[in-house]
Amino acid sequence: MAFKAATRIQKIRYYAIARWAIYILILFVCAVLINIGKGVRPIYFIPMCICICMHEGEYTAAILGGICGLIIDESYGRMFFGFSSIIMIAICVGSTVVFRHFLFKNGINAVMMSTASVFIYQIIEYFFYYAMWGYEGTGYVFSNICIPCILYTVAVSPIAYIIIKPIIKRFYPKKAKTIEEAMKI
Amino acid sequence: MNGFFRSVKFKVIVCIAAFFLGIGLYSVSKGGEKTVGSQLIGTILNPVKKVSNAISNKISLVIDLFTDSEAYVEENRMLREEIAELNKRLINYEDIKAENDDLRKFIGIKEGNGKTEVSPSCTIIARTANDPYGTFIIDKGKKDGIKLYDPVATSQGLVGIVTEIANSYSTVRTILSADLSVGAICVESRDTGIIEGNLALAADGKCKMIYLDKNNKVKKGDLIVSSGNSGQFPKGYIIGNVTETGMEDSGLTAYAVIEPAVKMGEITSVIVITEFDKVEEDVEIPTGVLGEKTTEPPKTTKASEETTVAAEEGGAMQEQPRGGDE
Repeated sequence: MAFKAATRIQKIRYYAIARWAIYILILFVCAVLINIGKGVRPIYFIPMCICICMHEGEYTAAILGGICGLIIDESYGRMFFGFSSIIMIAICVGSTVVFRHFLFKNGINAVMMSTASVFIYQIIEYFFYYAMWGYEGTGYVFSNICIPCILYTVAVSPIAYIIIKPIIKRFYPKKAKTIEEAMKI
Repeated sequence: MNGFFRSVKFKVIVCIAAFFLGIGLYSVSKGGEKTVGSQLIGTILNPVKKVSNAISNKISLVIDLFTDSEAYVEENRMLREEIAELNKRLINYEDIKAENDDLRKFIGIKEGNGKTEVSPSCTIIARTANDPYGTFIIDKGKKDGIKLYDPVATSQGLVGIVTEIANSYSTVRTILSADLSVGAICVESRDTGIIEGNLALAADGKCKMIYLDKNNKVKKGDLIVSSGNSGQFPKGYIIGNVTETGMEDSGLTAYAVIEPAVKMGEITSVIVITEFDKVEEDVEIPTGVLGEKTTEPPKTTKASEETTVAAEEGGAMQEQPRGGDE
């Protein structure tokens, strides 16, 4: 009843709280999944963040990317705790800007964006963590870890979009189409 | 789009990125100590990871029983053959042991390996994502008496070393890692070398013993144990068996491929050796007018007190973690 009586601004706040509560829950599940099992695992955070950032502002994207990057670094057991944050900030802010100016917000574009992002992420990681140090057998890492990780992440991308889309649909404030609708505020 | 790069928004985002870069640099400066942020994330996520990992292990075990039953039968057959082989070797063991004891008494070498202290059993709560070396996280940390660079083992043999530590959990790097060097000795031939990981071999769960003398007598099946000379690892811990030998491309030294006794992907719990007695390298002392050299018997000292000395020691038996992967 209280929700129905709320003004549009209040409703927007309620929706935002509900939306972010669900996002945090999803990201928490991603953080747990990334460390479960053996073998190569996808970076669940990249498609999830891209799907979320499609509809959010630049500041939100930057902070979300930074925090998700820290969680990735913790899961990867990295000594440079913040390495992924910098890449994730670029990916998330980049997604927000690209989707606002150039791309339609649909599933195919989200998957394409995820593919490009995970590819860039893996290349940077491969260079800074393996190739740069001249370890013996770095080619193995690229073919057996980086490439499968890219493929698995791409495979997870449509699922991420399917999970995020209903949340956006249900909890994202609808734009007022007419002056009368806007005046109701 | 061009306007975005000139906007205040962009500058603020660059500041946010710089903040996270600062966190990264700070964490690197702390060495293996986990930062507050990292510990916070770990403390929140680790209990859930522990439960989920336990469930995941149970499920994969059940699936494994159905899918890999043939492999288990084959492994069982091979193990039986190995037991038979070992039993043959055991026949002479008691005689040699008695003879060894007599000789020890005769030359006055003290018995015993000194004091070794271990942590309580540590459960593996998570495996580091997409790590070729099988790095994992255990549920014990500083508050359980574990220190940075403490060796980690199981009843089967040596596993690795603690490379990052928090209050309630630690990260363990395995001996498959290219960043870790362990001084090793072949039990049968007494040839010494250094165990080092390799990205290609780590995929098969193997590592490499390098800097072997080119005239070494190491052969397939030989047992390799830690030599413990530098004090980073205790002496006499089983590392694994030789599966292959060969010459390095340079032709100056030889190598042996080692299959670790501990299957890194299958272990679920380990122990951390928090204190052990270190064996110093033999000290050569010139004696007499002719300058003949004699070798002192090995002395034992507390490794925990001399880890810095160990890192500075030279020679082929150097055991120390290398600079990290950053």
